[in-house]
Amino acid sequence: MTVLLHSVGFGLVAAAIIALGSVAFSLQFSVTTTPNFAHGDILTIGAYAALGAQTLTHNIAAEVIAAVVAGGLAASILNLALMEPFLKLRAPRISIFLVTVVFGLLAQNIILIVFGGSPATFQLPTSGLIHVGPFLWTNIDIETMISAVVILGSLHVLLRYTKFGKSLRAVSDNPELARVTGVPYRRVVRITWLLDGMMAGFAGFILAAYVGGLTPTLGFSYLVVIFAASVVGGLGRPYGTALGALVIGVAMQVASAYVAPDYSESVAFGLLIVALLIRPQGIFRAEIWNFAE
Amino acid sequence: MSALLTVDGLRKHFGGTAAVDGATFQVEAGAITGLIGPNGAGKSTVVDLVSGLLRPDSGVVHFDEKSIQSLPMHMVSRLGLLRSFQVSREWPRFTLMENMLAAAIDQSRAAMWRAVFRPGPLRKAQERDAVRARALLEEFGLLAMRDDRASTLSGGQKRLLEFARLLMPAPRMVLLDEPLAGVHPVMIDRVRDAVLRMKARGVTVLMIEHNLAMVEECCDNVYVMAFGRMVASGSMRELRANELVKEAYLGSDD
Amino acid sequence: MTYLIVTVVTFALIYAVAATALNVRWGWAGEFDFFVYALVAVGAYTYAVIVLPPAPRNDTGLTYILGLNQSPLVGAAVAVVVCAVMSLVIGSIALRSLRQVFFGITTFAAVLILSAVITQQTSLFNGFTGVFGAGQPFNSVLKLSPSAYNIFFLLLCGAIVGGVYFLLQRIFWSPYGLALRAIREDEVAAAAFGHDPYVARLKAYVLGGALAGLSGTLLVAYIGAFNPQAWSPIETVLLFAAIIIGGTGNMKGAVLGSLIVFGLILEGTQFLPPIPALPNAEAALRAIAVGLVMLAFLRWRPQGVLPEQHYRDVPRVRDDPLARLVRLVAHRRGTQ
Repeated sequence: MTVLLHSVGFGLVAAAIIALGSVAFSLQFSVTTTPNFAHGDILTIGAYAALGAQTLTHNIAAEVIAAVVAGGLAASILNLALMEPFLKLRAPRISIFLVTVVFGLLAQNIILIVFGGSPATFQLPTSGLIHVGPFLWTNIDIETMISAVVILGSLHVLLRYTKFGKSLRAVSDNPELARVTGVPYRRVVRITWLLDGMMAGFAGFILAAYVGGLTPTLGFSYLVVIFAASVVGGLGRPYGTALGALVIGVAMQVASAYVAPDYSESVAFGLLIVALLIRPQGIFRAEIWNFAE
Repeated sequence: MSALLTVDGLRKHFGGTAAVDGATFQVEAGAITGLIGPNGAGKSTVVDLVSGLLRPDSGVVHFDEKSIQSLPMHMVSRLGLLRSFQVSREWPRFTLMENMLAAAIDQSRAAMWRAVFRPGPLRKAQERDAVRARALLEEFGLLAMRDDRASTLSGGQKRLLEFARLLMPAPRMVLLDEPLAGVHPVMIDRVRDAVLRMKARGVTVLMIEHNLAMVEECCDNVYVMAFGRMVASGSMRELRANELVKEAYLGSDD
Repeated sequence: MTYLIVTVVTFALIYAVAATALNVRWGWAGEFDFFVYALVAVGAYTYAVIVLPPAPRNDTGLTYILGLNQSPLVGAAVAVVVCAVMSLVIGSIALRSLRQVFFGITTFAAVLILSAVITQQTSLFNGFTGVFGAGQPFNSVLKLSPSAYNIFFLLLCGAIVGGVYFLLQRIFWSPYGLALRAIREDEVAAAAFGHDPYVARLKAYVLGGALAGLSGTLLVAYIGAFNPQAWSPIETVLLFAAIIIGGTGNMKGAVLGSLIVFGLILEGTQFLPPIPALPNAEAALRAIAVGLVMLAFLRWRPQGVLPEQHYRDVPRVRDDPLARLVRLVAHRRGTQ
């Protein structure tokens, strides 16, 4: 029983990281309907920016800021330099998807040139495992979960109570209608990409700390887990995706405790494929955007 | 006079609303039947259901004495029941000739192996198709543009191409969804003549239209649809005298 | 020097076959498929384990299944069939309900799963180290010198590419080819004319799989060895680059694109001197170069160098140069 509880505890930590990565993805998808295959690489960019900050300052705040800024910058560059011109060209969806793939490729290789390909260690000062109720966590785990709750909570406040949030929900529900009724479409899209990148950058920082190191393919390999959470929760449904992340994170850790540690990612793959085949729109019936407006 | 198409109790819900709520009607072979009604009455949905684009929640559709309500669109087409679309769906990047050739349904020729090992008979069949395509394109006045991309045509020309394409596989019946939509007034006569020519060829027609003059000139029988079901039927003259219909729809003539 | 050119062109031709496989799936059918390169790997491994003798039961650490010691033709045939069957299975599931984005994500996940399985289950194909010793088919009979053999293999690849091209052109101009493109352009309109999108796409998927398997066979036959390092996501992206640059939907374009990407950019840049400050930068710079060229084409010439061919019902009339000149002069005079 303790094993199960411990796994669930570890699962919650994993879920927090996955949630940060996948909610960003779903949020961006809900507004643009463009699946961003470079999303994982934005996490990587954030992680490496934090690494750079760490070698310079050893200050956690600086590392976080570096990750967030780098992520936001990368996503904005992707949008401004590539997405907007190609969308204006009315390029077919598939070409745009391919463009994101190439962007990811470029990002990975630039990182490869600048930082080299061998794995780099990334450690945050840790206290070791503590008992918190039935669970077993390190202080970093706890901070990870708290930061995920804080960030997702702030996102919720943003979406529900601010003018921008209303505009974003309008665009996500019906872009044509939003455009016609005066919603500043392009600004909403640009800010969404910025938020997506900032969250992804932070997620990359956390992921690197969790794993203990980074390579240029850190985020890319995490992409399947992010996709799994997004699809299970509902592509383009940030709230559903957060819950999807919970499901995937806990499932992965529980499976890894009871089956074999190597297979935790396969569990994510498996859930992804099952979700795609049985219910590609996600397990939740409708997105809870409208709270009795 | 037998009914080529019978529809009985067709129902389709979207979310909470019933788009089609018990539609029942018949189309006589060799005739042009009209389907009119206010926007949102469910006319296009009926065509989508009959042609197999959508699955009905309940109800029966018989075409040529076969029940087709659960068939997907490509199976319905192969039985000889074709349709047009409200916004014409030509293949824009294909040339006119390619649009015509791609419409020639002969599934026995669709095999990949035959293409590789026995191209001879396929080529002959393609030649015959090309001859037929040229004849149809000429009839609709489009022959000169046959190697141009379909995207270069005007709205009215696209409609004519759609008709030509519909006739390629020699269908028994066609469902026309607002053939005059997007057609410039100067082309209306040509489109109307094209529809009448279909009847002359023995093709049965069911036509959704808002242009009542067109309906009056072409249709032998007209159904009025409102709120997802048929509320009246008859010739246009009879319908104009019908109070119910006047109230629901015939406020002003187009 | 000749050796280098022979090598470069041979590789380009081998990848050209894989590019045609991707072209069938993407250019003709419009499916964004990540799994193509995985099938190249499956073809390579299958050929290897059919052609190699049984794994030695000593501690060289070399383990793999089968090892039937068959002739290269048998190996190639089995590899192609295995890939076709695998494509049939995956395609019949994936194509039934998944579209575009979801299809791409599924095939991506499938690649990763396959890669994980092959790397971890070392009993299958010797895991991370891979298999080797499968090279130089036919040479036990021909007994050629190494340089002569390379020329032989080059000609063999050329013949295979030519045969594949001929085959695919027949399919392109057939009713099936046109139906497939119609489905790609507008699936609903195609169904309205009796074409079954699922069946047509599945056929294309299986054809693409068979071609990918053939390419894998040639690859492992040429290099002699194969391991998971040879197949990373970048290989798939390179194949996309080849057909985007050369021309999607055009088989000549696929071959041309392969020559450009694999020949010129990849192998050709090996001529450049290394940059002392950035020792491992070569491969990365090459990848970046390909990526940038790809973006440029997607932006300014998405149809590629050789655009897709269309029926021309009215044959182009070949003017003779003299008549053209006379017309030109008369026109100029007329507009003075």
